[in-house]
Amino acid sequence: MSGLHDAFDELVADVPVYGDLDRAIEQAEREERRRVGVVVGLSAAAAAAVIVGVLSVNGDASNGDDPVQTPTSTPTEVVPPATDGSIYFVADSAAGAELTAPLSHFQAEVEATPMDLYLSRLGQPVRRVVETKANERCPVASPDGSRLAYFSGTNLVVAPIEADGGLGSAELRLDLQDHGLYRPDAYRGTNGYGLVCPQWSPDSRRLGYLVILGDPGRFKQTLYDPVTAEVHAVSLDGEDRLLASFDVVDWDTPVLAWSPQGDQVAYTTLDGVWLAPVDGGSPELLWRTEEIDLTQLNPVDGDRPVSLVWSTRDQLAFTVRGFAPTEPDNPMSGGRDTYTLMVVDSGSGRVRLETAAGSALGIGGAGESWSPDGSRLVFTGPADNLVLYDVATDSLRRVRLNVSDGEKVDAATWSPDGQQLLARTFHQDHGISYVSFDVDGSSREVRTPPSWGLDWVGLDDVTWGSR
Amino acid sequence: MDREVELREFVTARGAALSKAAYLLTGDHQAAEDLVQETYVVLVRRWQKSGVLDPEAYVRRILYSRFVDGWRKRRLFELPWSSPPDTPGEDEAAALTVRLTLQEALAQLTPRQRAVLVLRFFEDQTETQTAAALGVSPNTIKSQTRVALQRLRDLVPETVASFEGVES
Repeated sequence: MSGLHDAFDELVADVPVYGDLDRAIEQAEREERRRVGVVVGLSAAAAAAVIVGVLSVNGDASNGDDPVQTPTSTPTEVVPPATDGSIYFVADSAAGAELTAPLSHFQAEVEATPMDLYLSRLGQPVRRVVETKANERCPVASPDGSRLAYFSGTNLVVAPIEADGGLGSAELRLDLQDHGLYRPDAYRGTNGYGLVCPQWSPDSRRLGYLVILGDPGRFKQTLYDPVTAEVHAVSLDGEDRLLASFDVVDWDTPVLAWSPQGDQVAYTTLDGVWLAPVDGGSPELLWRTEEIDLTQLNPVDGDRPVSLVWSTRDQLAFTVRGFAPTEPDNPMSGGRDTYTLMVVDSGSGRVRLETAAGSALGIGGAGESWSPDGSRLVFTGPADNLVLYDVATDSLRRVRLNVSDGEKVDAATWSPDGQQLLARTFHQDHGISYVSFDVDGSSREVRTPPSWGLDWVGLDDVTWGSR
Repeated sequence: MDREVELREFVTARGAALSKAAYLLTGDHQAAEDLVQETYVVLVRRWQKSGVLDPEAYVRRILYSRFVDGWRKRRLFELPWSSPPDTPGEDEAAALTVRLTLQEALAQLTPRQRAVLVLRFFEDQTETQTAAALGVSPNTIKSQTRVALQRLRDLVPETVASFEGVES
């Protein structure tokens, strides 16, 4: 349509050249300085703050003597959806249509097959709802309970949840390979290393997702050479927004979380926790880790956030992974990974909780989960104990779950109605199950038969159906 | 070559075209200037950090996505030139009439429709390139183009009549 082109040309014939590159350079540098300033300010505020509960590595988790602190923000009104107790999860397809096919631990470890998507409804046997060769991962039910998002290979798929719990035809299918993935095998492989699960916006209208790009111009020669990661938000009609891009290295897997208002997406990098506005604007660094010097011998040992959840009371919880060398001045002396749980107000950046460094992290990187009303956080504490943090009283206590001898619990996630915790339990002789408990740990409902088909999966691979 | 030198060369080469596209999108000199400046800040940040493989596509993506996503909310698209310049000459007046009419019609399109038309018919981007710049599928571009052109025909039939007969 050359006529329209000519008309456009005529419209812009007198348009001057806008923009001032020098000013843009100054502004970019000023913003960077401001970010650093914000972080310095936050650190000072954190240091000045009344220190919050500290979880003893060896002792009981209870910390009821700490002063009561009032939350700084009003909780977003939460209307708990009705729930039928549905959970969707992935399991090794060799476990069969009802997760009951014989499967040894050895088979699951050595001959693992692609994962399929399963459904458990109260009072009904487990059944498989998606079976492909593509490797299904990361099911996430929308907050309104109407849809399920999941990965099928490198495709991000959204399908409606039907009345019987089955899935309808895909409404959205986005092949992340179109972005030029750096590590497509993460989506095809069984253990899903490097996979970043998508997250629904609170209004159930968008999905936040993260891709690690191949970036062919950036040649990776060592473990420490970064590639580019991008945070996107896609609506159900396919409108895709790039929210942020940053560097990522092989040994770090970033994660993301939506704000309760749906106007920001938080994500983790080696620098710390960032907040990116959904409607445009520059991401801001909310919380910064100790800087990792990539020229040091073991940068992989530097502190970095490895999980992230955002409460309806505008608080972010995340686990910081660190390293404690056996000999502090000798990085080659060996040592152990450490995990510290942080709770930070998203508005002020104030640190509300910083536990002592422990040795545990919920499997699959999903170590913590907020109650739907944002009043409590459950996370995996030392010695694989589940610990409950109460925001109002700023106290910690251990959750004593009703488990059998030899059964371990490694992580839990809150039900949409706030009444139950869904935990992954492990028994060396029988296998792995999902078990739901009342929040006080008393009542117990085994949701899936024990199976080694749940090996290689974590709490990122299970979701409550939300209705 | 030094990164900043490359950046300056790119901006020198592309600044005028970016400015024109920004003006067509916003319909307002101040808004266009702000859009270009904001785009430069993002570009600088990225360029300084890691360089940009395809700066043309990258800067287009920044400019258009910021316009469609971010600027829509600021209600910057009220009709420009509500007070036309004083007493233009006869030829100038005729040209201004066409200009005002098409500009007014553009202002009544949605931001995304306007972005599609500017990308397709001013920047001469293919459907695939337009889709990449706006982060949507080529099929969406196809339908948005059709709808946007029809809307233009409804709003300024005489002006658009001169475009008819060429592919759309």
